[in-house]
Amino acid sequence: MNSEIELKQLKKEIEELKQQFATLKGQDKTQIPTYRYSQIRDDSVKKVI
Amino acid sequence: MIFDNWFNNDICLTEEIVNYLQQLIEQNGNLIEDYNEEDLKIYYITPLLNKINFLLKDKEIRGFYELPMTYKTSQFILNGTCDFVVSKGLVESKKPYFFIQEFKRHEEYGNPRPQLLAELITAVELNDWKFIKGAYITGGHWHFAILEKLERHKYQYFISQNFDSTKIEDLKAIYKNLLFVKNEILVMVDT
Repeated sequence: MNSEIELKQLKKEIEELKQQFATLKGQDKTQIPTYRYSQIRDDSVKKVI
Repeated sequence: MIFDNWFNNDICLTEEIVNYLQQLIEQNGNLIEDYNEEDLKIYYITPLLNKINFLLKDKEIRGFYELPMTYKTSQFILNGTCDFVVSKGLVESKKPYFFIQEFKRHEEYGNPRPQLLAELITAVELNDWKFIKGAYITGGHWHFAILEKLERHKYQYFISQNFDSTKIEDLKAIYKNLLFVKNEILVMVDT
């Protein structure tokens, strides 16, 4: 039980660190949506257009 | 029709070119739908593009394969690599003129149309142009595209009818359309 909670907490902290790192690098995906050409779909193009 | 000027060109193909195209079909025709994207590129698309010859050293123009390109605005970022781009520059791409996007059979995001459109948006913005042309390929099928910038972050696009490159008349039309693009680029470079 304790290890489950610890794992959950650890994952949360990792996500927060990833977010902070992305912000520092200017790649904060929550601020600006980023689309890769190879993965973009029609609905994403329509959002951009 | 927006494609009229492009498709109703008066380019005449020599007998040598027609024979070359016919041979390309004979060699690959019944295999095209089974080719993976690398096979298709190496056996069918690249020979066609090489015959057009987008490598013009004196004009400093060439085709770039797998070209990385990014367009960043305050609202979105588009990035990734483009399959094929005819561009100003020999060592590095300086001004992209024309794009070709190929279908990726093994990828989840296989539809080449939105990929091409995203690339055209990037290019039209980087060049500060109103119009830009491209094409996308699914197996033996080619579609040409024109993107028009209407205003800031507003675009519209036009997709041509299908050209079946396994049929000689369609392949001749594809060849002429690509040659038209090459000639148009040459005029742009000279002015």
